[in-house]
Amino acid sequence: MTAALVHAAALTGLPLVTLGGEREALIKDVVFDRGTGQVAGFTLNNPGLLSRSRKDALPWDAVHGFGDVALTIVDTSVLVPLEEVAPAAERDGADVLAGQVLTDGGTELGTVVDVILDLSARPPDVVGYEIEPGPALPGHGHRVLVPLPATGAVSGERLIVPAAATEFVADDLGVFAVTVQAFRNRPASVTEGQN
Amino acid sequence: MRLRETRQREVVDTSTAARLGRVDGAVLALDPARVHALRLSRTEAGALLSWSDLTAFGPDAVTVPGAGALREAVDDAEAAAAQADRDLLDKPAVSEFGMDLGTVLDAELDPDTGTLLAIVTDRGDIDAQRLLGVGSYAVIFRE
Repeated sequence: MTAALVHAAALTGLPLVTLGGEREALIKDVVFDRGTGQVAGFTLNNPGLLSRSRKDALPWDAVHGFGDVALTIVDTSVLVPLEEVAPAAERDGADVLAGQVLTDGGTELGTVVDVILDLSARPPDVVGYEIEPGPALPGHGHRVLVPLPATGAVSGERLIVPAAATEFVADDLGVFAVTVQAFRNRPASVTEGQN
Repeated sequence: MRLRETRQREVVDTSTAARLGRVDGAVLALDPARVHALRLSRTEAGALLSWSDLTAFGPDAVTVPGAGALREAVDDAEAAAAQADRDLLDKPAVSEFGMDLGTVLDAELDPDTGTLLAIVTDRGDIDAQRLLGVGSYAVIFRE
């Protein structure tokens, strides 16, 4: 299937629509499972002028489809209490987006400003980060996209990526799908630990 | 026949030649997609008219055999489907996976049976059998 890359932040405000054609909510935030690094689900706002946070949430596996104008669900029975998708401890804790990116070689690459998702995968694949680069990355001054390995890269205070990721940096989403593939298909490196 | 043409058409009782009301909108049913009933305005009796109770959907008027064909919604589900905000026209057309398919402009229907043949959008026609849901926000189509 063709990769469908989006900025996680771009999903904010997207309407959540049932197959019956009703708009139930708007996407508020993407919630990441800190343990696995995968998308856990989405927090929701009510639609309309008084768009208040809702007490229910959408687990990723209840999503029927991600599209350019809506995120669809079969009906509202798939929504679950907010706690099941985003435990309070994680909501109040350090946001993954505030993290620094460090290579396994010990170089600070920059600060995460957004997450890049591939919506063609289920669950949506976290394929990379948009970062505000530090001096270690070439062409610093504008934000760049850094690919992630296929498994396990989100961690606690810092995000550790293989040093080789710095050779696969992209400037925009148009080329990033190819960049991610090239990074993930590269020959195994001695600096990359296996977990 | 186009769905938009049905709007505002007079409903006439053929037994008395009296005008019973005007067509205000279509109440849709799915599987197969069809106009199940007409929603009327300016009636003295009920506000709904089953398509199966029509004598004819003529070019100038909708004819019925008597005022007894007018009725109220039989249950909550039909009452909900008959709400004006569930009309098909002028809504965003969205695929079941959330992709933009344009805006619904009209629908082509068989005047004898009320069966919907195609949904007309600003990007072309969509087979009416792909219709999955008609809500107050959008019209949803199968991929």
